[in-house]
Amino acid sequence: MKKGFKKAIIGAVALCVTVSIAGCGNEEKKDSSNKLTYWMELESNAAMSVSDYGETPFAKELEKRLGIDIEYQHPPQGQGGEKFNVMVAMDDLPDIIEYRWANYPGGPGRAISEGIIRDIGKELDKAPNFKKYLEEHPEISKWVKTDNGEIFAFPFIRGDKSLQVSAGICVRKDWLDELGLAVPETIDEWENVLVAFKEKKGAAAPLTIQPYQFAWGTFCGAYGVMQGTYIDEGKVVFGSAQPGFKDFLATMNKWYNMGILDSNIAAVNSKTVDANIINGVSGATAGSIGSGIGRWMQAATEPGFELVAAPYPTLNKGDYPEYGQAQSAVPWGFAAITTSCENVDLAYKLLDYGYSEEGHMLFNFGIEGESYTMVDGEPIYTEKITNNPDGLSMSAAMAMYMQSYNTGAFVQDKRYMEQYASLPQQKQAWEIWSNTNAHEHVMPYLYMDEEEAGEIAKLTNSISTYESEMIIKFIMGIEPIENYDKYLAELETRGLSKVLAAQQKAYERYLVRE
Amino acid sequence: MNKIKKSIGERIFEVFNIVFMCCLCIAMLYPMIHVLCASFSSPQFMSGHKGILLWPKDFTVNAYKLMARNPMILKGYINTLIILVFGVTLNIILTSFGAYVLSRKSFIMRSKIMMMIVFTMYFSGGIIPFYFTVRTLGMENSLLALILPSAISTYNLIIMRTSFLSIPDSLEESARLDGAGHFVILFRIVIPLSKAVIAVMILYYAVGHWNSWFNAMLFLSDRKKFPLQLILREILIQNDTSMMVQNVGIGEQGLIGETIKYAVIIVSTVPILCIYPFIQKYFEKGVMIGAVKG
Amino acid sequence: MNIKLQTTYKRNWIKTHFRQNWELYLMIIPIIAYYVIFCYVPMYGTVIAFQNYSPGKGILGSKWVGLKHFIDFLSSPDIGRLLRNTVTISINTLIFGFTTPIILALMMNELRQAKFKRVVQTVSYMPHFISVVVICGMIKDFVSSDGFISTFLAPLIGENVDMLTREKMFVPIYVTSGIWQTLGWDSIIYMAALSGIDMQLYEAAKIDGAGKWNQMRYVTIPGIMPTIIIMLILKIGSMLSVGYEKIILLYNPLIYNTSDVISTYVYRLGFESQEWSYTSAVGLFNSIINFILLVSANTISRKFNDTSLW
Repeated sequence: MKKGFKKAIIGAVALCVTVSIAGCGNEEKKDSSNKLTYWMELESNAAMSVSDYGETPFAKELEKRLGIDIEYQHPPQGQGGEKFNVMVAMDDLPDIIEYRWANYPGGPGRAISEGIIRDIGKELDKAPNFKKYLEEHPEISKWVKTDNGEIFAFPFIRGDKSLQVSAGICVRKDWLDELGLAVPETIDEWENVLVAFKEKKGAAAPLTIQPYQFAWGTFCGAYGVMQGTYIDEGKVVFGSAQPGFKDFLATMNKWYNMGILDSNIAAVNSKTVDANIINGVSGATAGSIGSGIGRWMQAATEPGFELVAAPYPTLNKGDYPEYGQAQSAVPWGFAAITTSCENVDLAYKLLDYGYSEEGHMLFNFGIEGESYTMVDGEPIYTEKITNNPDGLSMSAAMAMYMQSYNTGAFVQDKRYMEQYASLPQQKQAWEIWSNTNAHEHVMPYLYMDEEEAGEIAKLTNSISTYESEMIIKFIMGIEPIENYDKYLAELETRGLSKVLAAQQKAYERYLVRE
Repeated sequence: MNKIKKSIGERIFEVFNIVFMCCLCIAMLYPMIHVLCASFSSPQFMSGHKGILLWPKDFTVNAYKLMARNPMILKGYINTLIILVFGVTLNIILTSFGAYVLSRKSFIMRSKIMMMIVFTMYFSGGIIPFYFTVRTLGMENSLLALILPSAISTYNLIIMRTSFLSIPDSLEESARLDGAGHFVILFRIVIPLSKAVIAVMILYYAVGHWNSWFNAMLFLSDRKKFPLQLILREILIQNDTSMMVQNVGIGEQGLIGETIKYAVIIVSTVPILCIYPFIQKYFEKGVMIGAVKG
Repeated sequence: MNIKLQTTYKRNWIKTHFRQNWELYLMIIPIIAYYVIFCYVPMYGTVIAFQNYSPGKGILGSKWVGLKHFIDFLSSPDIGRLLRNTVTISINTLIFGFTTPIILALMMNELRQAKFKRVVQTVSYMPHFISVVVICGMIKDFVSSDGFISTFLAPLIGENVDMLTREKMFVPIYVTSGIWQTLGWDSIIYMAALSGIDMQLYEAAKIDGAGKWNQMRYVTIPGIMPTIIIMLILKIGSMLSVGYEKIILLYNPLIYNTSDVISTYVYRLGFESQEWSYTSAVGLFNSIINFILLVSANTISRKFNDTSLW
């Protein structure tokens, strides 16, 4: 026993030494003639089939067409941020980094001044297609610039306003039909419908909603406000401190007391929403086209179960909803060229390709004859995508051939979405939820002064913690609505005006970006 | 053991003890049963499910199938096993060295070194300098980066030292009189007397290596070297429905995501649970007596 | 003369000490090397707490701001609440989470049926392996308005509600579920300590006529006392480190008042903006307090009990 133990230790030590020696020979050789290193997070759908993006038919086609040897580098999924920070701190940069550059601490301008990435604006002639696109779309051009007018990356661009919309309120159509009710449009109609759901369908929580979804303008839009920070007539405003929000809270409180708003609103999360909707505990909720309507319709076992989109509610019948959910036109995925890149021209060639006509088709629809065919001049996805023979879901199949379902340096095509939203209810929802002026209220990327950035972040955090706490308390009546003025005063002591002033200044800098 | 008549109080206590332990077992076993059942239930059922689960509903192995499709799983097991074997061996050697030296009264600097070691539990330089050190040592992208930087856990070192301290000094003294050196004392007397604590250390270190993923995330870029937990984390994140809000046609995948997290727990827990029974036998009473006399 | 004699004596003593104990120094070298290389060398990173650190500029290039981040943290509007909750949660965890594993180990020690004992041990440490996300999912289910725990406790609370929307319920839920998950695992170390008690002591106690209770009091508990005290000192030294993960999964805005702690606050801040320096300043603040607590606990223990970390 004792001898065996000793032997084991000696053996283990010997093995450790061997491993340590073996571990040392890991130097990589770099051939820089036509090679680029491209760092990006591997998207989940793609990761289901490949562990290196270079293995996808899309990447192979891209390499073939451009004659570039691309070496993709991926951080472990979900750890992109950590890896990115270490990479930057260690000055260990690949040639191209696709990352949320707009959220770089201190703004992307700082990444340029710190010498991490190149200012593309100065060399825009090397990217003729991208340049042309920016010239034709000055509003997009503003979004990808810093306050000093530098262009920090090749962005992912939503090619159509409707592509910026993905979520809203939905309601049980089969229940409405059974009760002889129409899809509600105004707050009063909503109240009727929800009461009917409660009384006639026995729904314990007729409307279930997660409080963060008020930032989409759900219900509060009727009172002329949204939750959160957004743009209103050229001003940065804080929704819950705007006139109208008090009335909204009063209505919600009323609904809460009537029992038509989920009594668990404080603790509700996506899991409880799933359970409520699927089991008929709730008849209406807010969700997105895919992980909302699409997912719930598929999960529900009740015969006849049907969810349809409802327009963003208004106060008066026939009014056009002003507020709704809308994302930025350049939401994420900025591909920047780093200062470590030696083959700059090659990097421009690669990144510019997505904005060319040929590249547009490749990025959005893949390879002609394989993933799409042209029918009457329109690209139509083949069976390989829509009904994959290997049993891949549509997004997983798309992940092999294109980037339109996700992100990348190109302009997203609306025709992708038209074929992607497969259920008629999804198509309809997309259309209905797009009927707002939400685009005008979207906050662009605002970059604070380096000095203020830290302080503003802390104030914002303190304000939003307090806000989320109080909204819930007002709705549940724990804090009487009469105390709304006290709420405003507390927001003030927490530095709301200071935050808004800083954001307003940043917004004005945005307006004059050139 | 001779039978002494038990008092009524003792009998009541024994019965109570057994009943209590049974209740405890039920409470402790439930999470595992829940996870096991959930992993075999249909995602449709689970996404609408609330409350207690005692039996799989709409039995299916889809979640496991989806995981099996990931070619990295087996590789991950192997990598984790390699790390486990070498890591734990190194851990036990170094920790027992440290614990032994720091529990010797004849070692003059022990108080200062102990203080210096405890200090590191509280103050660290953060990720970046740590990364820099590991890179300077040339361990980047090597399994060594997962073994050497976690060669000693201060917490475990303290536990082991406490246990070594409780061994009577007289044993060491008589061994020294017989001319034994410290290595002999450590391997012939102290370790055999501390089987229980060594067993605990093996368990703690093994579980620690088994569950760790952060250093792997930080230092490994070659996916072929990823340990199991990192791969499982990726599978979890891929299927996290809350991350999919932006996407559209994700119905089916989103549903499986609900059950896959349970399957991941089963796949990652069952092997490590098997260690315990082997270690348990060292907790039996009387182990020490035999060793002292022998 | 006298001094000279003393120094020669000292030198000789050192010589003999080394000759007798060189193996000790050989053994400790790798340990010291480990701590120096992997803990002390990277420790220079702590200075970012006093800087406006930016990864692009590095530690040398970043701007120094002194104690700004510490002052900012201590003057944030919710600081009172954060500290209060952190302390409340950790004291409760300390009192209940520390004592229960000891009691469990003692009770298991009294089990006569060896097989049953093994089964209990194996089962009781299982929850430790289930991820926090899943455990928290279960907790939420059980304490929701129609969950079995809320239904069971409804007569006591007075109504059937989601217990996680009640400010007063958060700490009990947090602590109880923590015990549920770690009880068995934490008792392992005591089981190991119990197995090291000399059986002869029990025999001697029996001969002296000690019953079960007195055996436990005079043999068992003193036997595991050093372990108990060291564990207690370590626990006290981690008072302020209440992790964020479980709380984030359990809390909601309605009960921030009793559930928001330092780590969740930092987490929320870090989520929006990468405040490296601020985060590490808060971390350092935490560590300093914890370290002070540890040193005090250790000093007290050394005075009264002779058990000490160093």
